Amino acid sequence: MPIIFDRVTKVIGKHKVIDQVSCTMQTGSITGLKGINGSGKTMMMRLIAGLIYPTEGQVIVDGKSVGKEISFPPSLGIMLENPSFLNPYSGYENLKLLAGINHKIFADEIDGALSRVGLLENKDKAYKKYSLGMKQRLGIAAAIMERPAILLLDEPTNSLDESGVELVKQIVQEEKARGATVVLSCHDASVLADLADEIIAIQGGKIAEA
Amino acid sequence: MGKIGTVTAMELKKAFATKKFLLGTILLLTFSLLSAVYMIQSWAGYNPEQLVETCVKDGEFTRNPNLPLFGFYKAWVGGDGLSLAASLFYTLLPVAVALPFGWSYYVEQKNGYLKNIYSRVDKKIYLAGKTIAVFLSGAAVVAVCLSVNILLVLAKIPLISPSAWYNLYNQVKFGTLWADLYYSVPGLYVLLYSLLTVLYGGIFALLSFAAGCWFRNVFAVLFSPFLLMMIAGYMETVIQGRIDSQIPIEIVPTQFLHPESAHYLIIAWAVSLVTAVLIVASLLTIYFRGVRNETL
Amino acid sequence: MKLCNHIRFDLTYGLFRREMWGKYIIWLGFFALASLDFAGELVSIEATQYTYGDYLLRIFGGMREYVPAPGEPFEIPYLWLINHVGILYFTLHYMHDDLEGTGWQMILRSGNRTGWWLSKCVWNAAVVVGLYLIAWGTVFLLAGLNHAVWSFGISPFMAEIMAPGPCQLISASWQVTLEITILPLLATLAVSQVQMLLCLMLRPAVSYVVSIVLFLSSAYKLSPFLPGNYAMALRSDKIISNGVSQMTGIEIHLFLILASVVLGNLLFQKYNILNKED
Repeated sequence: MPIIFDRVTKVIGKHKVIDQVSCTMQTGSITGLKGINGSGKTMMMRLIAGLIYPTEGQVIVDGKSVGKEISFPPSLGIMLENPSFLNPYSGYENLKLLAGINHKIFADEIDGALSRVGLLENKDKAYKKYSLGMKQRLGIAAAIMERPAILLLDEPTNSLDESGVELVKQIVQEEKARGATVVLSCHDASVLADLADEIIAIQGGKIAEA
Repeated sequence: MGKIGTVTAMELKKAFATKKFLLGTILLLTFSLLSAVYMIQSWAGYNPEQLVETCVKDGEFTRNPNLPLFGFYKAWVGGDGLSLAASLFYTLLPVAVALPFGWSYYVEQKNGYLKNIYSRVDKKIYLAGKTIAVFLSGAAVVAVCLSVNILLVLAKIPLISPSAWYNLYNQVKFGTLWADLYYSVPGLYVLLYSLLTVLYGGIFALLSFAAGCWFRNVFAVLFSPFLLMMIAGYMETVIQGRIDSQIPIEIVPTQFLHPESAHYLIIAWAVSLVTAVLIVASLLTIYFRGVRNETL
Repeated sequence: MKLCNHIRFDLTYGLFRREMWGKYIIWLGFFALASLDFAGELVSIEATQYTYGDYLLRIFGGMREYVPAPGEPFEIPYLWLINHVGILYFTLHYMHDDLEGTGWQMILRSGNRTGWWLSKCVWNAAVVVGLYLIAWGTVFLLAGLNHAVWSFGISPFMAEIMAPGPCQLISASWQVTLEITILPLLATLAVSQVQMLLCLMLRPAVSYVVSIVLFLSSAYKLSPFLPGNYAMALRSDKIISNGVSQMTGIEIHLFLILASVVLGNLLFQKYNILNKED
């Protein structure tokens, strides 16, 4: 499912957080977003997801303009920075709750996603007792469990140890092999270099270099 | 200046140089201004020249002009017991003073900022500096709003000393807090009451700070002083209705700070006791929950 | 189907999660206290044959019209005000907490914003109704234990205390029942829904302040334009000649609820779903 940014500008309050961005993210590829904090990487992901809409221009997902023709991309998995879940529920129950909305997957696939991120042993532990790294892994599990056509991962390696980072790399490559359009932002340049087919550098809401 | 001075200066800057300080001030200022406008408009129909014209015939008063009822001392926000704005001023005072900085400890604890601080300065010093800043920010909100109200009313309504003959219409009853001053040196009465209100601006802000040491919800932190006053107001009616007291005493701060609308008698020792209890409770909470607890 | 998912989640997690039980208990305790306080007054007055309606009127009836006059300062009706602003506090932050927590994920998965918004409106209504049911249940239980007469009509003695002079409190019983039960609930529900709408435009704290000002203004001023007046049986045109009309109150509250739901949905379609940090 290709994603096209067509001269997208987004203004929030008085700040232009995205400024005339045009780029294309191809199906079955990994696009890396590179930039310092506050450069606009997360905003680009929110625009793709339909959580916010462009002030000018359009974001086109699979030929349809987000916010005009569709409210949200039809098949989307997303993990934004500092994922948040329900404290009293376990990791498994949190995922089950989300999976229960579309009923695309059931218990086996949820367990499968938890296993892929290395959380199967802790699936019944209350979310509030998870460490930061475990919370991060649960966020990734929530994003990948329904095998989405578009996968957006915002700083997925945050709070992860070395083995966790390698796990994320493996997951991203598996998702690409499955044919998903993956958009990944990461501060770790080596991770982007290893994974991304194309890297877009964002600076002050604009593309610095393609 | 030492670390406490440095920390206090840092916290004061955080407290005052923010939009939230402006928001709290604007909220309370709205009502203090509206109260002033209401009283000035009311006064417009009662200026002495008009009264003399309508009350004097052939050099003699045909009716009582009731001048002492309509002077400045009944028109500043503390003397205004009639307008909605004055009621809103005192009712929402606990919210307005908590807005600038009362929530700061809660937020800093939640987002982990405290860990940055405690690795650099002792907890006690930091919390002492923050306590001072919270108190002063709350007090400043009230000071600004009261000053504007008083200056505006003073500009338009003359200083006519209250008369003890009109005690029926004055809610400042004999024997209540500073009542003797009200009828003898009313300017000092207004000054002392204003200072008391400013003090309570700081106290309510501290209560919000203390709430931040307990609650895990920012709205509970912001609104607990207000909700506490609501519940205290109701509880007071329940308690006063139960005890067969000849002299029911006012113990709710938002009531005794507004002498014109107090239900019961405002007595010095009760005011002192309540003030002391609130200050001590806030400081003890901050100490035991803030200083003594581990920072996770 | 997806709306049902949202509603099911909000009604289970939103109504019955652990932190809500403490709030329900506090609410029950408050109305128990109010009922016991009234029962205690009755004992001291040595009146006879008080009804359930008397309890409801005392607790939910509000205050008579306030007319500013020298020597007559405005007295805040704490009991009436706490009932309304207390419920508004309970309903204040759930929507925002959910949106910043898992709500945005649920919106993405369901593919539409309307379902989430409508579900929150349903949750809001459920909380308001639930809290009123707790209040009424507590009042009825304690009134029953104090030998109240099973009637929603107001006893003549109570009518004399609360609204001296000619009034229809004791004669039009179904209308009185409406005044002391449904209208306060509708008023709280309407303002609560408006508060939710305002939360989309302003910060939740500011929305709550607006709600408080609205109710306190209603207590101060008898006016058909201030919705809180319809929540006070003592301001009804059944009791005072310049009182507010029951039917008008119902219409206005229903309109406010509907308008808030519709406007809120429209606003939410373009609402920027961001974290606090963004």
